[in-house]
Amino acid sequence: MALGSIVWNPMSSRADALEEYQVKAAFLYHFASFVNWPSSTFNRTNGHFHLCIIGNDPFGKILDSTLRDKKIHEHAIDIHRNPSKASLRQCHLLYVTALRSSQLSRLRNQFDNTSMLTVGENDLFIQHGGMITFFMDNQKVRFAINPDAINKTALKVSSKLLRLAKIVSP
Amino acid sequence: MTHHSKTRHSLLSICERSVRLGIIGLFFCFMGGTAAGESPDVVSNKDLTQLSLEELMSVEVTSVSKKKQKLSESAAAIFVITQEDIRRSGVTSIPEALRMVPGIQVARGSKNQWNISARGFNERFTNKLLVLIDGRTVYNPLFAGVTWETQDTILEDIERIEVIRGPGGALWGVNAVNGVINIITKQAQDTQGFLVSGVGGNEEGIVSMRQGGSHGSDFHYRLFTKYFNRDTSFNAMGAHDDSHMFRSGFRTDWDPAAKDHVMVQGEWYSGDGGQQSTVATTPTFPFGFTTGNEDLEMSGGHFLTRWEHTWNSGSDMALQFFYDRYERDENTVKATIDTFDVDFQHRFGFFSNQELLWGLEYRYWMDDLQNTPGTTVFPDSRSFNVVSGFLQDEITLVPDAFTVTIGTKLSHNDFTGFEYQPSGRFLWKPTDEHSLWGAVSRAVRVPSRLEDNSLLTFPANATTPFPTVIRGNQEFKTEELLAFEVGYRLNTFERLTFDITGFYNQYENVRGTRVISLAPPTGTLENNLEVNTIGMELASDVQVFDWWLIRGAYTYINMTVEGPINTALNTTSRGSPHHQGSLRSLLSLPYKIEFDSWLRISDNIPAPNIAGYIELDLRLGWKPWPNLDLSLVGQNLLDNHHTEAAPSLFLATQPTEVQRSVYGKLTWSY
Repeated sequence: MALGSIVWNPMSSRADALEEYQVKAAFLYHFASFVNWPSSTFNRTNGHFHLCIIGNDPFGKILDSTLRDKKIHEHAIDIHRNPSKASLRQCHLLYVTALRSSQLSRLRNQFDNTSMLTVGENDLFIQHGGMITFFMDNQKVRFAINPDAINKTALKVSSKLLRLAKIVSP
Repeated sequence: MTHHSKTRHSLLSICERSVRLGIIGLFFCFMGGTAAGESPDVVSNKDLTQLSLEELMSVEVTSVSKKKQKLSESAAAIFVITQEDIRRSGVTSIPEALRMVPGIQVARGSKNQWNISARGFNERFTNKLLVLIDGRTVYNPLFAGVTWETQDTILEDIERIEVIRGPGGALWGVNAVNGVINIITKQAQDTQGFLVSGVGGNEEGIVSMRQGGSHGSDFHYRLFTKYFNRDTSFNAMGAHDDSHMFRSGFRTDWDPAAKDHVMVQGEWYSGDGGQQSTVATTPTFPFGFTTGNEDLEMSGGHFLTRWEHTWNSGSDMALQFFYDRYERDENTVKATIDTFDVDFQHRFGFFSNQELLWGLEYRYWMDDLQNTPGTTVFPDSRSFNVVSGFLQDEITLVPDAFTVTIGTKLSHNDFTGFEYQPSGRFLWKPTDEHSLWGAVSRAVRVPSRLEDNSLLTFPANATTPFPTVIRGNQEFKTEELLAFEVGYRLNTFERLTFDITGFYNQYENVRGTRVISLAPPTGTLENNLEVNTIGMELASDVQVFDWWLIRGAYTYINMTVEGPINTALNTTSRGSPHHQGSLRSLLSLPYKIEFDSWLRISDNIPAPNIAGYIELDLRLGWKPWPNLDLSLVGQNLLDNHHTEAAPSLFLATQPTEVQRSVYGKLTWSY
């Protein structure tokens, strides 16, 4: 009586997960498209856009299939899951899962990068200095932006993104 | 409350009532559940990046994060062996990989025999462990256990192996008493392209080949074939345990729609394994015995298909069918077993904090045995039906912090009739880093064919100077377990994980023997033992630096047996070491070089006495390019040979000793 798996049920990691995280994956693509990075950040990544995930990856293959053959400002996308400290520095977009939210500040001490967009999954993330976080509103995915956190960096965010976001400060 | 959840609410009450009515009611409950769960597709297979931000914000989604149970969120003693663990450990078989799991006893009996158990009772015919490969139960009804020598696949294609110690009774079946081992292979889309892997050394040679491909973006497949040749190992009396096996199979994964997944797989294997056995040649006392070398033949295969569907509401279901064929021909037993199994499960949430999982399973098997003078099973051909249902409710009392899970399994088998196996669990997660869980469960182990009605003849041995006969018992009852478990897990950011579990198991009606005649010495199997085990299992990972990971495991178990212990007719094994430990170091060095070491320590086994041992495996790996993996591995380096397993209690075959081995391996893919 064990069709699924105990830890990651294949049932849920497949069809099931398409929903919320398929939408979130598309959001990530749009976030990246509405933010401008200093061109120097692409020098150290061979011209590629680095999307990194910290924590137990909730997307699975959805992220890879959503972003397959896509480009961010003409840059090909590389996805890194739980990158090492050295490659963490090169991430353009850092996605931090809910469980790791409270560790954002500790994480940031490990790298010195003033041009990394940080995206999280809960309110806690903003409290710990995160820039964009998802939240659910009536079964719909919404996002909140903390402009203070972004203004400290070299990133430029389009006003359209700010207009659609819920603006928060920690 | 929306209209939708009201529907589910009433559905629940129907379900609750149906449960009281039993399995047939449950099936009725399912029919209703499907209809109520259906709702129109909102998001189909579209490329969602084409939608604007505004459009994305209006898409209704279902939250699934809760269902993806993380390791730190399970209220059970779980350990996961990843593909990376398999690769870096240098193991060449599934049983060897299990040596890194706390609470699992692994003793190699020969090149084609493994004694594997969870939480004690270790012997060749261990019977309280459930093993699944991609959802297919690999269960041998003759002795209620697993023939490990035939369970294999291309190791590179294993996604992970999940091991639960303790009863999985409420969810996992009638022999999940002391543990469940769930072997999961990769989906076909993750094994695209060609892979060839070769192992060559002083003890074994293995060749594996796999070709993966696709048709469109929704259909993926792989074909594979594997052959191994394992050399004779050591025994002072002569070993003759060389083994060869060929297997070939396929797997397809098809996603006809975003919410459906269909998996089909099939496999055939054929091989032989040598052993030294002592078999009776005349059927009456004092019997005549001959001891000699033989080459037993093993072959079999399976076909499995599974359909998984998810509804927009977040509920999901899986329907699975498999057929399995098992053939074995040796001097003591010649058997053919065909198994047919249909399995269904359905999961849905209700109210805001509950998730119900229920399922039904029907299994039919038939066997055909050829009796020999020393091993006779009556009747020599028989068929069986097993019907099982289960129901489990996970209640979240404090979101992300406190959940309670209650469930039960109800099953009917042809030996003992109805059996129930309830369990209750809790998980408390005060912070992200800490979790505490506890469980009380009842589990049963149903009788095997040999226990029910058989006549087994054993030659004279060290403890009894005469040949003895043991008879099966048609009144044989289920062995029962009441298990108490408690565990704590610590998971600090990136650097340290720590997992400790304690358990106390009370077994009743455990298999023992009753002497019914002294001349000739004859006993019958009887449920006359009470066994208590107490134990502790510990696993810890320390990421010392980004390039150095240490993984350790320690197991303590103590077993007490009460009841008439007839040493001459002993059929219950206490063959588990009090202490065992595993310490692995994984070093990722510059120039893509890996240096991995694995130290294993096992205490002596009390009865029958097997000396303890310390062994060391070393692996030097080099991955010059992502598609080429070269390694040089030494296993069991500290001794020329050492004994791990006691002679089997049921078949008079001679275990051999495990030898030092060295091999080189090449894996190439494109």
